[in-house]
Amino acid sequence: MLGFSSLELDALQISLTISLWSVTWSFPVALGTAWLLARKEFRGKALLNAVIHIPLVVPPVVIGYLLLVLLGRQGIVGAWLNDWFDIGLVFTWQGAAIAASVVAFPLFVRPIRQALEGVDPRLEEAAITLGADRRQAFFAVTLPIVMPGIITGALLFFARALGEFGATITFAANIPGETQTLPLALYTATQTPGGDPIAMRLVVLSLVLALAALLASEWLSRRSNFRLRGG
Amino acid sequence: MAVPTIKFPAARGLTVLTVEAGHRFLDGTNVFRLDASLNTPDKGVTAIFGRSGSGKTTMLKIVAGLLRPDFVKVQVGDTVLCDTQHGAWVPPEQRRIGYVFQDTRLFPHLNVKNNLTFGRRFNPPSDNQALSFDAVVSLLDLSALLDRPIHHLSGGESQRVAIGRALLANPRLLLLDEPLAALDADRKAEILPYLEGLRHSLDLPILYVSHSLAEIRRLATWLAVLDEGQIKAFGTVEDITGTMDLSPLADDGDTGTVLAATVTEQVPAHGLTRLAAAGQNLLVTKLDLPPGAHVRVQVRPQDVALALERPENLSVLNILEGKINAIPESSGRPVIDVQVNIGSTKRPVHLWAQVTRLAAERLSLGADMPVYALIKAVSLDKDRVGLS
Repeated sequence: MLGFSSLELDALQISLTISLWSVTWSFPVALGTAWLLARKEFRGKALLNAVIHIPLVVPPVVIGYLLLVLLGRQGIVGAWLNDWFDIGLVFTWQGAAIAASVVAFPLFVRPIRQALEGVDPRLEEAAITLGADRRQAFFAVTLPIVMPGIITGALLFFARALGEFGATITFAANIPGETQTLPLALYTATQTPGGDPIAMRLVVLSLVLALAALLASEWLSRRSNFRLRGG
Repeated sequence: MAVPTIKFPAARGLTVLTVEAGHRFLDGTNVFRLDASLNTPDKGVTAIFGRSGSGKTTMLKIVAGLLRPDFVKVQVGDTVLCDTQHGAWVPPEQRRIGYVFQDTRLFPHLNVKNNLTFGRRFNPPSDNQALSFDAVVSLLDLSALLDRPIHHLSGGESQRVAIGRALLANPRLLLLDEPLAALDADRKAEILPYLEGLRHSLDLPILYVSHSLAEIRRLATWLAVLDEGQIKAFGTVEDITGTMDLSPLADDGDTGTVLAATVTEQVPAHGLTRLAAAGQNLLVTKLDLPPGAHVRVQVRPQDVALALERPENLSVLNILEGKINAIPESSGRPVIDVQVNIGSTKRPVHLWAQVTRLAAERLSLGADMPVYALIKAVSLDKDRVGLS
């Protein structure tokens, strides 16, 4: 298709699958975490906040290695998953998605938390006097108001997950057709004699994907801003 | 402050509201208590008046279920909304208590129309007692605002939308928590007629929290004075303002008495209107009302002078016969308040007059002395006279 080889298209498809899957599953976790950090006071809040932000400040390879220790076949959690559920994550695209999610997670939480902190919690109180229970009040009032923050977080998360390299190659390796994402394929191409044309085509694919994501988020935030203005 | 006899209004059908609550704070020392029972009429406005910190807003929040003290009992009519001693707790979203907040709390992501209909998503109007959308829109004159975003509304418009939103959630009781406190004088004047309109057209008890006596006189029929969590007095606005000096509790420095009066005739040649109050004549600046209309006249104590004999050759038009009822202890202040009964012994109508200590001494004012209360007609203008 358009002169792209199946290896290149596979890399595109794996990248897209991993990023979209990561956004989908990370969204509720990020929303819950942001809500806890913005609205609740509890013991260990500072610690939770620090742990979430660790991936921003350590090299991704460190995260990949920690994931191996935790979720590898002999890992603390990984051995248990393997024995009881026959689930192995190492060297699979799901493993790559987990690596990308962990690394990009703080970028998802931060904008949502900031948006939540900007919403007056007394609006939910007003919704409750109008007949909404706590859950309905959150989904009918607070969630639509923080939607721009969610879109920003989702875009940052998506972009970071798409570009994830170090944690992925450490934890999920670089297996064509399974865990070889666009950046991994690009890296492989640059290490292969005569791989320059492949590398160039992969760069084009990456740029198109990034541009599409930016345009989509711009469109979404325009829409939600329009609604915020009551249009 | 003397505690007057509590006289319950003889209204048909009463909605009895009982609020009792107690709460011990974490440090164990500070105990909050509230004990307020009102026979609120099933229609019309009952004002809750008291200084800041007297428990007014706390009381509303407890009624609405937004606060859950250690011990609480709230009953509206026959419905027990919560009673911790018997383990009863109706969650706030099921209480159908309309709440209008001072800061409106409109939803910024929704336009006016969607704010108004918000409650209908959760409380679809099932019984035919529910107000229709169109009725609320016309009552509060909102039709021109429906498509507007919230942040394009003025303060007064926002408050009207907030009231409409609460009404459309089909409440059994409407709570207004100082809805005018955040507005300037012009905005207040803009919204007051709508609040008066509500009082007349809604079949719904309204509790109106305020520490502005001017608002209360204009809007409320009944008045409860709340102090340190206790109802100190409850009765009609006329009775309470006539028997108690509420000015120390008011924030607007607007003290005085409310007289119930009836329009007797117009005096077009002089641009005046003649009223009858307590069986006596009262001239006020021209009112556009037909004879027989019932009005309420606010008389400020500083607008009332006292004389021992009927004065002649005086510019003051209103000379009311009366008898001094009481002169409360004023502990050496240069100005003292005198309570004059301008009605009969059987049907007393009280009026407060403010005179200097010097004048009171010169005239040797004392209880049971017959006096004439002098009120300039120009002090009784449109702002002081309203429909009852």
